[in-house]
Amino acid sequence: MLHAKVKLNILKEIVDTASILVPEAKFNIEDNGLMTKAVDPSRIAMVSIEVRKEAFEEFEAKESMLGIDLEKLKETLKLGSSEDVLILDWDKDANTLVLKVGNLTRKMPLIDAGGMPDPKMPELDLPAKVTLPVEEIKKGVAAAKSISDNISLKISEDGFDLSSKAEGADQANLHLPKDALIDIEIRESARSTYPLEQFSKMINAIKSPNVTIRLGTDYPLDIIFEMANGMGNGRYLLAPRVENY
Amino acid sequence: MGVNLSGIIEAEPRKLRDFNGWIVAIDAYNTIYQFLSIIRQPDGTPLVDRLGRVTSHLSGVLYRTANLVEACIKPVYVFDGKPDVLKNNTIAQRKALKERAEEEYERALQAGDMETARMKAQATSKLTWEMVEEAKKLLGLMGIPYVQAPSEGEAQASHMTAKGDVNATASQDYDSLLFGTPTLIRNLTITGRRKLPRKRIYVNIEPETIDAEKNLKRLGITRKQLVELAILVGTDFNEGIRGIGPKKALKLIQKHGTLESVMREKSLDIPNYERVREIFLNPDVTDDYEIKWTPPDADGIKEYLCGERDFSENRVSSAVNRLMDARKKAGQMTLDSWF
Repeated sequence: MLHAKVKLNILKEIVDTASILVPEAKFNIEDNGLMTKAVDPSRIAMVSIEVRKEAFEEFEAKESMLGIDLEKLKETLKLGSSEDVLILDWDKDANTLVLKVGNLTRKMPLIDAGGMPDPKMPELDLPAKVTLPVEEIKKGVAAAKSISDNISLKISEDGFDLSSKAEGADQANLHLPKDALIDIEIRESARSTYPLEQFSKMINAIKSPNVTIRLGTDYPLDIIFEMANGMGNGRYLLAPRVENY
Repeated sequence: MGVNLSGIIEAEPRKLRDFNGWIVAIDAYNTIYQFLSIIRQPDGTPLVDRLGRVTSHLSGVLYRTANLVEACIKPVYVFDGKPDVLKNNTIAQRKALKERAEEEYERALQAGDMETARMKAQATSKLTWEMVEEAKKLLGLMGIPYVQAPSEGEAQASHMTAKGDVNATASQDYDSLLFGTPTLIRNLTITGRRKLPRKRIYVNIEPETIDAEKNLKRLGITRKQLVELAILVGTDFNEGIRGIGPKKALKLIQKHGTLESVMREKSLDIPNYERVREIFLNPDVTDDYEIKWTPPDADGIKEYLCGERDFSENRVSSAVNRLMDARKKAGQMTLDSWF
């Protein structure tokens, strides 16, 4: 069972974090919060979200699985404003999620969660890690957009670099020296290239001010961030592009 | 033609997307020949330019290769070199078959029997030296690598697959299994809806893979024994024994172990069988090749196909765009390697 009250902007953050990768997601509900993991259809990216019950105004739940159509939920959230408090109830018999915003009630049929995958987060041994403000990364992404479909990330003793290169001479590079970073840990320096479109979507979906990026060479990227004002956390994985073509 | 191993080899059905990221050595002669047979107008005439020169092969190379590249497959075309003299018989037979098909085609056309005309026309397909050169020129413009084999293309492709430079050999024939490819893909370039001749039935042709090791294990024979089995059935290099098909040949090899024993037991004589076996087991191949994909030359392709060979500007543009877009996505890995 599930009965919860939550601020619209918190639920929106959860939905937005997942919906950039998947149109629907399976939420695992437990008495101390909810979590979801999903791999995008092209299998190049993954999201993992955990939100503790403290992020909710009220949260009463017993272990259950809800298959949610994220696009529908997103549309519903447009009906209220960010400070509104939503009431969520799961009608188990009808397998319906009932949302109330003010005087509005929206009933939403759930998707059969039994048939939805339960991906495991791969364990990645990544030798370099930085923590920095999201705003800095956004600048690098904006600069890269007019240049290439790819973006390269590098962590070295010099700091953190975001760069992109076109087939001609066009190039953009965002260099953040060590003292511009909140934290840096390096076992060995690392560099990988990623699809800019997905990377950009991920960075723009993050609401927390800071992110931690774990990086290896030709390895998936691991982006770790706080959610729901520190009462939850999110992770994105993104598979690299390798330069052999 | 190739060796007939149907009925004893098992294939696994695949989707094009299963080959995401694969490098595939394509048996160029076999594949281009398929294009020449399939890519035809309803009455069976091949596509031609204003000078009457056939363009079906170029159409296949452009559009079907673009389909592969779009599915994130990296093709390498492998062209035949000089055929072994033992193949001369097969080559002469093929020529005779074509001549007969041509006569039958003309007759069907005059009788207004389009269905038969189309069927017969497919059997008249001739892959000329010019067509091969034209296909190579187009591949060059598309930035798709090709390798020139010293002798059999399938032997070279199998060698590249066994070495691990490519993931699989693609051909309609089974011969590359004899040449030692670990993985063979069939129907790679001809996927899609196809009408069965003389029937109002359409079938969906899907790719399939054949795992050499799995098949040999299941049959309980070695590659050498598979080659010997094929020699009994007949290959491009020898005539088989009349009345012996793949299943019977398998039983004989399983029972007697070697080709020599089978021949002794059954008092058979197969001329040049040792040479034929050598052609398959130790084929003439080269390590002197480079597999490198380069950006397509969009203007060059348009100039050649639209300017010289009367292709539609729109369709060529869209194929070139598909090639370019696919290139951008190339090298994208999936998370599957890390799960």
